[in-house]
Amino acid sequence: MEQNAKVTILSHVNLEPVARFSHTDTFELVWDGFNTILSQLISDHPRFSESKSDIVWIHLDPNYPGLLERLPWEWSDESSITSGWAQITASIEKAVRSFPGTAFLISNVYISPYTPAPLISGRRRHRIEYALNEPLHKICSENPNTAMLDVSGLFARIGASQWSDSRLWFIGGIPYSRQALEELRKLLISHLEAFTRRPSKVLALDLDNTLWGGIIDAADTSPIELGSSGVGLAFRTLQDILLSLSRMGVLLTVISKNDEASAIEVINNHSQMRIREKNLAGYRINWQPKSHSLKNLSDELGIPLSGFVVLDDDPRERAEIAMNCPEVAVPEIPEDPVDRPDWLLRQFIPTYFAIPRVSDEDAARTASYQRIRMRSAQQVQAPDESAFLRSLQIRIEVTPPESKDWARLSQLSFRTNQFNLNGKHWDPPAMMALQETAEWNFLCLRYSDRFGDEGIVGMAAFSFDDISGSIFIHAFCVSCRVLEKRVEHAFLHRVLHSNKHMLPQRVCFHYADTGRNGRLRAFLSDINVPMDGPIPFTAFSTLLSHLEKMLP
Amino acid sequence: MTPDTLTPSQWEQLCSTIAAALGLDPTLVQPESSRSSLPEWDSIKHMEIILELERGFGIRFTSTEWIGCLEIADIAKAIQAHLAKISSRLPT
Repeated sequence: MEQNAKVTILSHVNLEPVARFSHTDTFELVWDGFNTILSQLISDHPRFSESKSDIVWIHLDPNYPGLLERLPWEWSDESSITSGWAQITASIEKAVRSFPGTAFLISNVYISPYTPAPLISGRRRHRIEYALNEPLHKICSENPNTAMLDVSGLFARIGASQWSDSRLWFIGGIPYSRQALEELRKLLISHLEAFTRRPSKVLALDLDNTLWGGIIDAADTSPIELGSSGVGLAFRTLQDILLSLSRMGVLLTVISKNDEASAIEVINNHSQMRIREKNLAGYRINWQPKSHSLKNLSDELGIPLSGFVVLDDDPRERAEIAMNCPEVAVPEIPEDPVDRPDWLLRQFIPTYFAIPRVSDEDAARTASYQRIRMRSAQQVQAPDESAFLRSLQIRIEVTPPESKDWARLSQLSFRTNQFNLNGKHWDPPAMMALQETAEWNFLCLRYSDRFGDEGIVGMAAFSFDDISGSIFIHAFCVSCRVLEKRVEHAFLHRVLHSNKHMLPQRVCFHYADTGRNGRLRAFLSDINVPMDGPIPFTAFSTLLSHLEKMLP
Repeated sequence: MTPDTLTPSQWEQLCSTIAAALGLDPTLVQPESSRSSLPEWDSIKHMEIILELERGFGIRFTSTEWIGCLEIADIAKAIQAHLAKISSRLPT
């Protein structure tokens, strides 16, 4: 995503205040005007395309006129709206598919309970909401250039009584109250930022008074606070929230000053613990300064400290980390444990872990990092590198991406730090649009070995110039989980041979120093690729001979 | 000039609220200013001004006032009327 991304707002209700008050250094919001949404969606040359908008926000609100023929309380059941709604969602789907280079943010819908009750019962309202939202969810799940904006959730959080202001509606055609507009603006901006920001990867957790109440102490046998009621429930709820973060791909780790055996005993055997050892990508439980433990974990996981966030109740520990690991985010946490679950959901997660889409790889990431430890143990036992690589029984597969793979490729481009050619963040829409051209190619790298399947761990974007006989490598990144096994060499080898019609004469890497991609730089240096100078071309045959010497 | 409908501090609050919403220097907002004399004062800004004044003065404009207040003097009169109503309801 480019800086100053242009965002067009399409809606049948007046959202001009959101556009006017949401400009940031990163986003320029454009209000397309009243009631233009349907004509814009079905047009072959919509304004959002002609104005080169990067993102289109589609906001439909069936509680207000201008969308469906009748208002919700006039619907006899969900079937009475099926036909009109199907036309609208088909228009959305057409636009989404016709403009793969544009990202679409689609609001889900809610039905207000303020209707001439009891004409519309709660049960019927939910059924209608489901019928309206299901096609929108389907569009978002099938098209990688889409994401959903949870307006229905926002409506529930603010509450129907605060959601609208009748004067704004009847006088200005603006359906929402000032508070709702402000919250809608915040929700929109946080989603837009999630498209562009590199989310943190690792959450390092303290134990005593953070994951549970009280202190494990051999001399003190009083039970810790963790359970199904009272403050113990607040700690357990916090753990439940953290576990769901883990399922979104965030790596949970523990840094604690404690006796390791006692702490692991609680983690594995306390009946109310939600986070078990199997949910942790790593831990350091010792009496070292926590900054030391963090550096240690960073080395083990191969993730720089800038990808870490720490949750620790103790201000002295937070200060020690902030002083010695300034790259690590160490937010202050609410003093009262009962305030922490809400704080996690409302502030902490949106700030550090906003993730636009969750891939299959995300859900399996913790297990993947646990396999890294198993491979490291295997390496220690092996007599030499060749024996180690043979023992792993590595299988790699290099293929063009399928439609479901674009989101993962995009994620690799912004989550990979150390082995990333230039740090450019690639959007699925941009990649899909380029893939349509004759010159551009994308490849993904899949890896598995005797310890398990890592899924897609690498992506490459490159183009050929047949006239000059050149191949330009625009993106090349490989997850640090599989580095140091010559997999990166094999991947590049396949990329260089991907043009079936001709072998290029020279290769140009679009390398940029991101400050964090030292391993990529070392790799290029090993195969004698120049990285400086105006046009750092390498002769294809020279590069290939260097590379082939290093293949496993 | 300060209209006799509001106290000087209330008048200052009114002008500074309007100036802030319009992104103008407060000295540019005068009692005789109106939506037609200040081009920045469009319908969305009008909404912002009305809501901000409601919050600042603790009052609620009627829809008629919302639509009809096209000059600062009109707004000042409406605010004064609402404040007078509120003070008449206060226990003496």
